[in-house]
Amino acid sequence: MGMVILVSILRAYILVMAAILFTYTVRHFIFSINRSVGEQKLYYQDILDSDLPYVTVIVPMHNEELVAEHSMENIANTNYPKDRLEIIPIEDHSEDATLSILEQYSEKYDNIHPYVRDTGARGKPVGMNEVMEFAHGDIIIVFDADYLPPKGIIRDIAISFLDPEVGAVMGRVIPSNVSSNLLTKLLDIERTGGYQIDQQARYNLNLVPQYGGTVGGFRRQVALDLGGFNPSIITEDTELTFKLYQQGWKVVYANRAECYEEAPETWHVRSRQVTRWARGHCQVFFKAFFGMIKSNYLKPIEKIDGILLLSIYFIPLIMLVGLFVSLALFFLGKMNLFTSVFIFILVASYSSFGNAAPFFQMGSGILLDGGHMRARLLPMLLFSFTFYLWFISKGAFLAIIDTIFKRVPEWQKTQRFRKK
Amino acid sequence: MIGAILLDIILLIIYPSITYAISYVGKLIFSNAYTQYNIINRPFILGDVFLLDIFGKYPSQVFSIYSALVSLLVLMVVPLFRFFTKPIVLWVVIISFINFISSMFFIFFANHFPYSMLDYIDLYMKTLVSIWLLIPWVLLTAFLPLPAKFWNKLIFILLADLYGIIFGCIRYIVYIFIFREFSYIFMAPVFFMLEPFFDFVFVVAFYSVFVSNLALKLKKDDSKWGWLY
Repeated sequence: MGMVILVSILRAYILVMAAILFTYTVRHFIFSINRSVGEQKLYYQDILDSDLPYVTVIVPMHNEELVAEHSMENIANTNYPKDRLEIIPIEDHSEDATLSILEQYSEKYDNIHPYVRDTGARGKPVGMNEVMEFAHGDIIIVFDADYLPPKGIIRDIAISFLDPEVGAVMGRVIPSNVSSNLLTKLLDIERTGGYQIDQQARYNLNLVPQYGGTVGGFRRQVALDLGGFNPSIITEDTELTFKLYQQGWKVVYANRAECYEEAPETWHVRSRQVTRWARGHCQVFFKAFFGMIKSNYLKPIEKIDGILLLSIYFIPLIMLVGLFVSLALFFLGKMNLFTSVFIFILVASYSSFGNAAPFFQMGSGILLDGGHMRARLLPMLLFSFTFYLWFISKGAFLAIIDTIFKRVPEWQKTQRFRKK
Repeated sequence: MIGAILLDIILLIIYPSITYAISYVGKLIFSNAYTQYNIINRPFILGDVFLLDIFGKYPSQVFSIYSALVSLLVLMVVPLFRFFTKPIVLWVVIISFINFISSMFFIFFANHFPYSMLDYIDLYMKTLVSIWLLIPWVLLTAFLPLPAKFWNKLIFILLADLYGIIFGCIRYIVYIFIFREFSYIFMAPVFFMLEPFFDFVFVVAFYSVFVSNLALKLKKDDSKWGWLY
């Protein structure tokens, strides 16, 4: 009797997992179809208006001597009107030459005002909260220290705020060091699937594009009114996204606002990065889930997409548990044809070998970008499969522990690889 | 959709012959002057699948202990090697972990192992035929958003299925060899890490070549990129 109940529970788990993965597969298939043959929603880039908003660009930095110079140079040389642009790099407890680099740029350009933090807790949310209190810009645009913003990007991002419903904007992230090694090439493919297809399709379909915390902007006063960033959440971008949606603001995606980043060049650094993303994202899940469901400003379809977006980093954990469940079924002699074929369908339909994007989504993105050689790397994402299965599961698991024991995770900086 | 249905109809007609052919090849390889194996049939979908009625080897207690120890050693040592990248380490760790569980099972519950060679071959063959039938639908779905000609898509689906059939047949022989020569202890790692997962790898590989060729072709046509933003 006990065995029958156990087997029933294990099989029920597999069925629930199937239903969840099938839902995600359908979602991502709709995204791919939308981007390939659907109607595309135009961004605001064609609006001509001399009355551009005053913008504060914030660049959080901690030991960024390898990259600080490049990002400062690029931001200072954007074509946004200088009298409407303020640049505040946050020097956050650095122990290298970051401060002296920023001081040089402060002397060279009138509108660069470094903000030095050498006391209190370190971390992007804390620094951002402090800067937002005295920044002059109505709009805050954020770049990570390793980013290389092109000339027109600040206008491209800021222009959308002429729409009074827009609370935040997200641009497209493209790795600059694609050719470094296999990892950076695979990350490039993942980014293509994530931005070119996922974000743009969600924008097209009036779903919930996500503000990603860099190459993006938001209204300063709105962020302050929402209580600023919670220092105990390590993905402040995801938190802001869902706070905005719950209060009726729109988040828009600017596919043409392309900005180059430095992708991690070692699997070790990538593992820390993706664990942090998963942990922070899942932290937000516990904080925002009921708020999304109860929000009076969101349509049912937006709520469904929001919940799917919030839950996405739990999928590898669900699959990892599914592997153990399948193992148990195998040794109990209950591994039948259904379960066996089912594993193929699960892997084929969703897991994608990557994080949060099936292979056909990445393929469609590559096609839109016209990158024919990159497409041939798709089977190499096999290497990412167990990698993400483990490290995203680890992040999700840590978030569960954080929530239960009310732990505050420590902020971790991503290592840079740029040559001096 | 027509293409996928057509391919499935053809497969439904020919799969009994294919399964008979590979079982016959297996019989030729594994039979000798002293042991002769029969080919038996089991009903499946519209016809029969043919299976080689062959036996494998149960691991000895000593072999199971050695297998468990080696798996444990690999589990502990491989993550320490810096020159293996993390994805490789994780693959090795998962395979070793499954092998460790399997070894422990044979150490403590060898008499309760629920599968015979015939059970496994039966499951393998039926899974294989199901995957042959599914490949056209998986690839059709993946190809659907791509602006390519019907015949080009059909040829790639056909090639992928053909590859699946050949690759599946080779694996059939290899698996029988492993379970006959090295025992059932490796049934679990083979099933979980090599079977359906490997089928998916070549499906993605065919898809990637198709997208790559298509991107190259479309590069010359500016009108295709009009709706980028």
